[in-house]
Amino acid sequence: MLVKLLQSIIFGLPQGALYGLMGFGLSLVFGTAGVMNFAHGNAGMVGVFVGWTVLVLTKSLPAGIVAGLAAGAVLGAFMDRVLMKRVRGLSHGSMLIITLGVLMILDGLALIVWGTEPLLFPDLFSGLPILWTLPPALNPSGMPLIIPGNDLRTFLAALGSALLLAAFFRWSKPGLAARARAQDEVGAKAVGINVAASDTLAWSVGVASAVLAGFLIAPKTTVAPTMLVNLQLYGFTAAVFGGFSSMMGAVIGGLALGVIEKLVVLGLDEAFMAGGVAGVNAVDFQLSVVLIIIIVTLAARPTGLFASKFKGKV
Amino acid sequence: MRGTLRYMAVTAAVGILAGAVFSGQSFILVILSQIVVFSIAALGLNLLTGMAGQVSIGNAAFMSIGAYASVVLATRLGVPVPLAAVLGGLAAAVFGFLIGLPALRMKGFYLAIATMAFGVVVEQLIAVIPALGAHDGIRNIPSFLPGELWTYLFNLAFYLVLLWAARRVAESPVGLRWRMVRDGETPARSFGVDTARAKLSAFTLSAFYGGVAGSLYAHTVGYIRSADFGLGRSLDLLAMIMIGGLGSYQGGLAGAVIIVGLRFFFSRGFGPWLSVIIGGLLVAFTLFFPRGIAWGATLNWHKRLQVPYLWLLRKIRRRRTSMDGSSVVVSGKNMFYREAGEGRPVVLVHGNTGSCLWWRDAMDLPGWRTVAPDLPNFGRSDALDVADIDAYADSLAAFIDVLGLKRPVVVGHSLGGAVVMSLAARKPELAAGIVLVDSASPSGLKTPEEHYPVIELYRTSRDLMRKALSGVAPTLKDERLLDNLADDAMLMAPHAYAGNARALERFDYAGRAGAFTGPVLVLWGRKDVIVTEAMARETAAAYKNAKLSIWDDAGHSPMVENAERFRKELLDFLAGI
Repeated sequence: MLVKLLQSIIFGLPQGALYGLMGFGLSLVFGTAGVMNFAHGNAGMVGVFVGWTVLVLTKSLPAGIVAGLAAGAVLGAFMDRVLMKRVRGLSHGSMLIITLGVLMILDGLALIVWGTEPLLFPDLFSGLPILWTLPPALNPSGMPLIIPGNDLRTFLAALGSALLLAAFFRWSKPGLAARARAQDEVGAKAVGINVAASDTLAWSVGVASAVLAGFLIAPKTTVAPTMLVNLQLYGFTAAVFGGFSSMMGAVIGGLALGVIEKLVVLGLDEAFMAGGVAGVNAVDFQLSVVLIIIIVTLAARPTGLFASKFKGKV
Repeated sequence: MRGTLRYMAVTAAVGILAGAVFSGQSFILVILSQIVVFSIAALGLNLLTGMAGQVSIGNAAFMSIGAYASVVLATRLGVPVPLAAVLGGLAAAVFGFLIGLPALRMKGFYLAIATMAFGVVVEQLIAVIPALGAHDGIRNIPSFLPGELWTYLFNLAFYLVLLWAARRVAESPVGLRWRMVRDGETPARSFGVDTARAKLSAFTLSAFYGGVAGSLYAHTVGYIRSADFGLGRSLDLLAMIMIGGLGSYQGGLAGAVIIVGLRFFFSRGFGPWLSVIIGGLLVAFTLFFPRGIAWGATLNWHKRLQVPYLWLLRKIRRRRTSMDGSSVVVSGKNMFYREAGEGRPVVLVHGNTGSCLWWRDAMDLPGWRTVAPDLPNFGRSDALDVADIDAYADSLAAFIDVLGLKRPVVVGHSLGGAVVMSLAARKPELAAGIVLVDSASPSGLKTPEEHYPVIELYRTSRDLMRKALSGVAPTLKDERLLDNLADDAMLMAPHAYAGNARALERFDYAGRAGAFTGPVLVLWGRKDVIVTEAMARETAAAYKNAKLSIWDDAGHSPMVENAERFRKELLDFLAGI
């Protein structure tokens, strides 16, 4: 039992890091520019497609990744400068609905340009799985724990980049400016911060982080128009856990979510087995459970689980 | 109520006509059916998002719940389909209530996430229930009506009933509370609105509409799958109300025509383009036409669409109603008037957008000869180049002279009161006495600048004019008279609409009005929304020999609101002259 539990946590953490990265990007844009970006996942997906195309053309993985991230940054800047600029501060509903429109546009465009065939994406990392056997006192069955090599590196890459970006926004000058703008737009303007530039920075970095998450998950999902739809839902959940105004909160929330999700599946599996329910797969309930967690969390703490006292935005 | 009925009748007529035109083409009837069904769902979303201001991107889930509930009831338990559709709506309403409970605490973006999560949960959970056909859904739902035409008419009937109900609710105090919540929760609360209850009722009703729409969808299409009611469908619904018009009743229908129509148009191989187009419409309407097609249609109705009708109305009405009056040439212009009785003369001068018709029930004054002209620019009289109070007063003086009226008592209503004031101040010897009925005060009447665009709309919209006049005569019950007054108002010279408001702004006889020293009666109704009590008192104070009479139960137009009392009071005043 302990092995199963630990194994679930080990499988859950890399997933959780991806959720955290996704939640980080959503929180960044929301915290800075005040827009809940429902096109976050699809914008990342388009970046991944661009990266894949460059990869196929140049046969160089680094070139593909750089191109994808750059495409994401440009797309983010476009959404901010062209679409959001007109309704900024006017209506939260309008901003939200525009991102929903962009979600549909990007979905259709990806299908038109790249088609419906799932495209394979190489593993960014390779490596043998690490096997770890617990001492027999804790583990009578003698089953080893499996830590897939790719997962471990994905975990480190996702978590590392999220932390790095969070650190950037915590201590660097542009990052400080963006946070100041999040706290008080007029105040930020008064001390000479270029608010528009801060917003664009947040949008660019935010969408680029979604592209990064896409690259990390692409070997599993293949490159397809719907590849980041579910990941965006998980990202929202992670951000809800984190309270949306704190970027670190989203990362921690993502990790927690990854583990919770695997534990829920484990628990349901056990329950189905104990109850003799056949023909139902616990994995089918995974997303629903996560989403119910969102609703319950939002109902209990309308501004997120780890929300700070700071009451800006919405 | 009368407006609602006419509105429903027009909608029903258009719907039935569409069914009749395409009665032989089952493919088009299926499209029409779907348009109507999605209009119901969009109407439900509009109640929640447009009226109560709660953005939901999970409303397709209510359709899903309604569809499955209704199909199970109808096909497995033998419940009649119309009843099953209503029960499906109720099942969805229960879920709407439940999702509304946590949503009470959320605002804006958070609510959007929660409703989206709800939508996906419903989609996913239904897809794993084997009894509901899991991912494959339920096929071969038997149709219960013979043929597509009857199915369409059945759906249309549901739409009409639900549209009527939506209007009734939205115009009731419940709907008012929704709009207060939408426009500002804190102010709404400070006015005693229970915002939680308001939101919950909006969620529940919205879910009911979604559920009924889902039920009808299932019985129309004959095949449901939980994936048909996913996030994409919810976004379709949102697009429908954004395109059609947020917070409008029929906007959802316009949006549904476009979205459902596009879906069929692109059903062969252009699927991805559809997504791009709908998304593009969503963005474009939000950015550039945030009030949607319904607003555009309304504006066009008031600005342009009535113009040909009004042109005809002016031609016919001017000729027809000139029969029962006379015309004289005053300073080279034709002036129309009606008269009654014999005796000393009383001249009755109508107000802005008025005509002699306003005095119809006040002209029978035994022992007096009453003469009611249409001022130049108004009614059947010729137009002047200007709209100006002094010019009107000059015409009126010339009119009195041409008719040979000796020292008449001159009665003026509203703008007509200003005309009489100007006349009496400059020619004090001309009138034996004056009566000022809810008149502009000697210092004029300022129309707020932001009203001018609306005044311009009165020029091209009889509907708005009638509505405005019913506000001017708030206690008038005679709908036919109101119709006739509105028709007469439309005869006014085009430049006079804004021109008269400007003229009243310029009008200033403060300090000069008192040149008239004869007897003055100032009448004012407490329900007047144009002239205030202070203005009425100012008017009375401007004359040495004035009596102020305040009526509690009349608005701006006592002579049409309570003609009997008006005649009596006028006769009492005339007796003292």
